[in-house]
Amino acid sequence: MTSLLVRLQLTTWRRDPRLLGLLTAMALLLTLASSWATADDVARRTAQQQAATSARAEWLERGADHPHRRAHYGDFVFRPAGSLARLDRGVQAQLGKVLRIEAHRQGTPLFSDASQAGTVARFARPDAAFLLQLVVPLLLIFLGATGLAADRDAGRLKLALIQGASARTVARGHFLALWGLGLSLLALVVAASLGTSTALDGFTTLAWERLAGFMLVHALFLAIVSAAVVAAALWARSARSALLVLLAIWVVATAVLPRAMGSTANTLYPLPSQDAFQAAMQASREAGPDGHNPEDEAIEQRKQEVLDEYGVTSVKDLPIDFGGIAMQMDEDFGNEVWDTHHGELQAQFERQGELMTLAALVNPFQAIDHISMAITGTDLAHDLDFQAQAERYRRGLVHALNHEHAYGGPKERGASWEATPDFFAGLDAFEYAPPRWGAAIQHRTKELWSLVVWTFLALLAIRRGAARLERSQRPC
Amino acid sequence: MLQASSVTRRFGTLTAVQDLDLSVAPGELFCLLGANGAGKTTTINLFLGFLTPDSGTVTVGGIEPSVDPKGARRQLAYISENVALYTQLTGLENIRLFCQMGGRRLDDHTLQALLDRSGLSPAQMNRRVSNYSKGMRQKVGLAIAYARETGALLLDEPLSGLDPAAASDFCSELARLRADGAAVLMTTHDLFRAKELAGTIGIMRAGRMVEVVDASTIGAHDLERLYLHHMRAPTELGSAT
Repeated sequence: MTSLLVRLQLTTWRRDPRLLGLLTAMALLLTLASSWATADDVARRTAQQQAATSARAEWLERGADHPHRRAHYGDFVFRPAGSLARLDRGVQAQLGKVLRIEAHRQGTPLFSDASQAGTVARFARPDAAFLLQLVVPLLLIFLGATGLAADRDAGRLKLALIQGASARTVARGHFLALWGLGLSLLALVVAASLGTSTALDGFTTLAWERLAGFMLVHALFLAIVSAAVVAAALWARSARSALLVLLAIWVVATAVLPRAMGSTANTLYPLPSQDAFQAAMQASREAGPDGHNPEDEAIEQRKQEVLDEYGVTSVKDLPIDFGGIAMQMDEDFGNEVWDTHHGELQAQFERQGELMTLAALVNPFQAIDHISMAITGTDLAHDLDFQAQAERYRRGLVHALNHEHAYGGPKERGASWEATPDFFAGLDAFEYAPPRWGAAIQHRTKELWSLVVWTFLALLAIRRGAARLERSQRPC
Repeated sequence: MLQASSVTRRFGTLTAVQDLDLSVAPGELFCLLGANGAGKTTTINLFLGFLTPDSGTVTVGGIEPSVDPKGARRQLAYISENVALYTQLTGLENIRLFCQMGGRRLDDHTLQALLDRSGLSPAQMNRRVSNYSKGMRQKVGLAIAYARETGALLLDEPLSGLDPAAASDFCSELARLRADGAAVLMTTHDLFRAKELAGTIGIMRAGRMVEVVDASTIGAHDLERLYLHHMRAPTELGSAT
């Protein structure tokens, strides 16, 4: 019986020219969006790889150099696109993707796509996740209103029940038809992405386990939407009211609630502006040692300790270059200042994130958004992880340069001494290692549970709605 | 076969059916007359098990639809004023679908014979229902009812909107069903068809059965006079759908 009803729905959609046109347009849109986003992602990765190679080549081409000069010359590291950014760009477009690495200075990534794309970027996010999370649900809502809800209005459901079909079986058939359609569109999106990947980069950059996770959670989300659509058809007084209720929920869940919660989070846990953050950092740093100022008290004190340690009275008699030690002192203090200020900033991010997670518990549209971005590696957590790894790399690099500055080379070196090209070549280039997807999803377990609970509730609503019809507690 | 004893059904403060007594035996056709809101459709829905009586008892072949709706519906066929079909399917596909919903898998030959019996030509039965007239839809509804081979038939204003020829064909089929022993309960506004078809005629007003007459004992004009008399009498109760 269930398969009969599923086939009935498929036949109806196939034979209705308006619905067939709508479904064809949706399939084309999804295919194009997925292929376009994949091609864009492959191009970005290639460009990022080329930029990283070019920056490394420049680093090596400078040859012999003084370590501290090189520390100021610095390097660039590039935030790679999320593992599955071709399906969900997440918040990447708003985040910077180039980070300058140099001594004495920590920074945040610059040159976001949004900052360089003008106002059009505000409206352009045609990736697969956007369509699957917002547009496909709208399609399912519309089809639901022309399906079971319309059957109720027209009296076809009544005739079906009189024939002997159970309301539960009818509801199950409609649910499976809608969900099956949603899964087909999901499969289409993934197939389009895989096809484009095959043509452009031969899967070399595809994260299969993340892809499986992406499909699984979206399948669960589409089950919630399909079940909600059928439940609304069973509980609402008419197809029109079912459609209105579902559209109202869609608007609130996709537009009103996320923005309201975002504003609330910003009000409760405000973030400093970039200027204010840098000014606060600068103010804190001024209280510490300045490696470039020979009259700095802390540097002077440390110099005396080093002189005592080596049993000499002048830095000229030291077998090392005290400048490297002074620079590392400056660097260590700068790191502490960064850890304090950036730690506070990150704590605010986390507080905001917790509030948004709470919102996601009651809003499956936000829950799937958070989970999808975590799985595809395009959420804020991945960006912060990139920043943390880049900062660790910066500290390691600057420490190595300062150490070479202090202890490298012959004891009797002059002011024009330079470290060898081999030394600089021996310093590894930055390579970002994204967290394993299990770890990435770990901080989204609440949202995952939320999806599971919503699935259960939506199916329960169908079961109870059908039972009400069966028990003749409401006319159908 | 169809029995209602002291049945009352309210919707909030509105009493849709009050103290209704009604009985339709096998081979009998009972016509319910009444203005819109008299309680005719509510009565049909009580027999179908889509409404539960607030008091009194409704039974179909001894089964209470409110207790065992599926059991009661197994003994019923139903045709509404507008037979609800899937417009993207053909007439033949519709009857096959509704039979399968009832767990009956009939071959195409049998289904075509049922549609033919209800007056649908082979060319018509293979056209999509979206191209059907109301009369053709009613014929498919009748064929679905035939296929159920039930002892009772509920008809909710089935003649409404049919052209005279289609109405005449439909009434001929009803007469055949009645002759075959089916218990038929039909609501209608058509006094003359009621007089022509029914064995018993009941007149409802504001949820009450105000008159029950043997159709063989009354002429068409007397029936009209009686009907208008009841409709024009001062009302005491509200009306129902």
